[in-house]
Amino acid sequence: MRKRLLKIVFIVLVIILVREVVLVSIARYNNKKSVDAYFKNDTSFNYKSDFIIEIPKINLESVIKKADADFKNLDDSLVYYKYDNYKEKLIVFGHSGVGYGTYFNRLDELGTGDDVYLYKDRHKISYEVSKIYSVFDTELGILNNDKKGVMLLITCEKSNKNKRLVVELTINNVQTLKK
Amino acid sequence: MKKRVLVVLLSIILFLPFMSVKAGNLDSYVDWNLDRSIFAHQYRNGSDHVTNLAMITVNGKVAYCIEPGVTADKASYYSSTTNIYDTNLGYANTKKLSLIGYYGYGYPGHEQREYYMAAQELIWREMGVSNVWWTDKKDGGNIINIDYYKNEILRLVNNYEVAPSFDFKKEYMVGDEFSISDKNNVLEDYEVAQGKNVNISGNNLNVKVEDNDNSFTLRRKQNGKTTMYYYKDGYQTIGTFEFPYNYEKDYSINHFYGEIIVDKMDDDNKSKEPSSTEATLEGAEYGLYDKDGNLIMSKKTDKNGMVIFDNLTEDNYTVKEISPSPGYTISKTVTKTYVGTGTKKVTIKSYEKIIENIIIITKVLDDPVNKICTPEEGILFGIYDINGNLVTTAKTDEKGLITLTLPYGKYVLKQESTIEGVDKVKDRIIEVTKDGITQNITLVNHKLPELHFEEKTLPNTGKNGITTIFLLASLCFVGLLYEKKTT
Repeated sequence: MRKRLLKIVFIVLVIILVREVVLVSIARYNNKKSVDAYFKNDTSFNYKSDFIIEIPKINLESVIKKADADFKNLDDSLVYYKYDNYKEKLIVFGHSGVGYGTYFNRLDELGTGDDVYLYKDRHKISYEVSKIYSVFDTELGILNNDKKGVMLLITCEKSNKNKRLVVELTINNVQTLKK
Repeated sequence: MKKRVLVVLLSIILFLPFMSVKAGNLDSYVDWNLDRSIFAHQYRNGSDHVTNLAMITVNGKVAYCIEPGVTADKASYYSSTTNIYDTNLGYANTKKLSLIGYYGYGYPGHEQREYYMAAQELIWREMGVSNVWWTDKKDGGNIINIDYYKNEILRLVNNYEVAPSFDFKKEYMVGDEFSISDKNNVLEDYEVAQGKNVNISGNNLNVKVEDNDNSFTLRRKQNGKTTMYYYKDGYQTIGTFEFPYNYEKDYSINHFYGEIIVDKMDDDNKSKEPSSTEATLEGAEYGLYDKDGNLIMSKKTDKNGMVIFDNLTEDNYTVKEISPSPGYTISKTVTKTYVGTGTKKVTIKSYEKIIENIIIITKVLDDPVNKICTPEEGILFGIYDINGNLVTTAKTDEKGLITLTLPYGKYVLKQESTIEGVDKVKDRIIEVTKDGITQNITLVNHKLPELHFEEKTLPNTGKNGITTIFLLASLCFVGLLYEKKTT
């Protein structure tokens, strides 16, 4: 009896793991497809609302979508909160950890001075990491549009789920790309 | 004796070729009338030789003594020749003699006997007589003054080789016809020897310029007659001068073809720069028509908007556009023009209107709660061309409207700004292909859904569930292995 129970539990857990692997693959495929669509000027890319972020140090190239209600789409991709104008304050959320959609898992490897690039429509905005700090998940003040030309990359701290790792970046320059 | 006779005979045979014997044909009857009231004085060899005026004729034609000091044989037959070297005379300035004789007695308007006297005197002087004069008595008497007649003959003699002269232009267009007068006023005495494109009318030369060599030759009018010399052994040589000699001159006229150039330009810019990056001045077809409206040829403009109709002859032409170049409307202008010698190259500037559409954009916000659409004022739009270059921007007015005119081409309409909480519409393609169309575009925006998350905390951005699942699966696996071992 016990053996059968263990077997069933094991199979269920394996199925969940397999599902997770499949979802990771699909998420990665969709992400890559979106990134490729942008750089190939494909009209399937939503130039109006989506961004592309590139962080060479952690080998990240991903699409950033606008956060929907309750941040449901945060599981599938990086999302930005509210403001889509790089001249204002951009706030980007992403998961860290193990599983699909954990694009910010290596965010803690960034240091001051590291380069980050943001692509919006025909513009390439070059950022530089200016500050790295942590906030409690109750500190909602960082969501205020109090700074211009700044981007925040936010994810959970691996050691403390009640805290959020914030990587603050400032703009170096803006390039207009030829289509 | 026989030997001597033989020697004489042989000598005669040997020297025969060197003995000239002018046998002649004795085909011309020489005679004259003496005018005993007039005496001709020839001063030669230191003495005055006086004779009556003898108006010689040969076969009824006026003739002159050209060998003074030698007697003529009256009422007898002489031999005739056109070559003075056949006569006893040998060398003489035959051109001068023939001219004097030709313009002497018998020339139109020269019917007075004084012309005979003048011509004869001029001939004698030409043949070496140092002085000649005329009197009404053999000894003494009055001098008959014939200076006027001599001068008139000499005037004509000196003008014989004065050819017509024309002030031609540097060149004429093929097909051109014109009339030009002879500056030397001698054209009436000439005829066209060679040249089908010219003819003479009084002192004017009429020319039609042709598409080939426009050279021509004018020569002194001929009468089918010639100068003749008459000779008889032992008697003076006589000459008749019904025509002196041939004289002609060559002329040449340069020709060229005309051109009509159509220079197409943009009507809005008044230059070669199209009003739209997608329009071009190249490829517009123009037709060239003759004065009766028949199409001669058609050509298309090159990349500079130019077309050249060349190799045109002098005439009136009409030019009009048959089909426009891409992005432009057809021009209704019909141009009539003339090309000729004075207007070698005609340039027609053709200004073309670009195809345009009026674009009316209506921007509204959808309000599903109240089921209405409200106009949005102050929304900024950008219009970009196919290369992504910004063409223009515009803001909606209080009615949510933007009205603008766009030239030929394909454009992308982008919403550049929005109000908070409202989405932006997707980019819209606008194509302007046909002229005079008004395009109405209605754009509907929607309010964005409110973002909800826990008021007290930032979104959860950690995922470790899978780690737990993996650990549990591992434990289960270990448990299963243990169970298998124990059983």
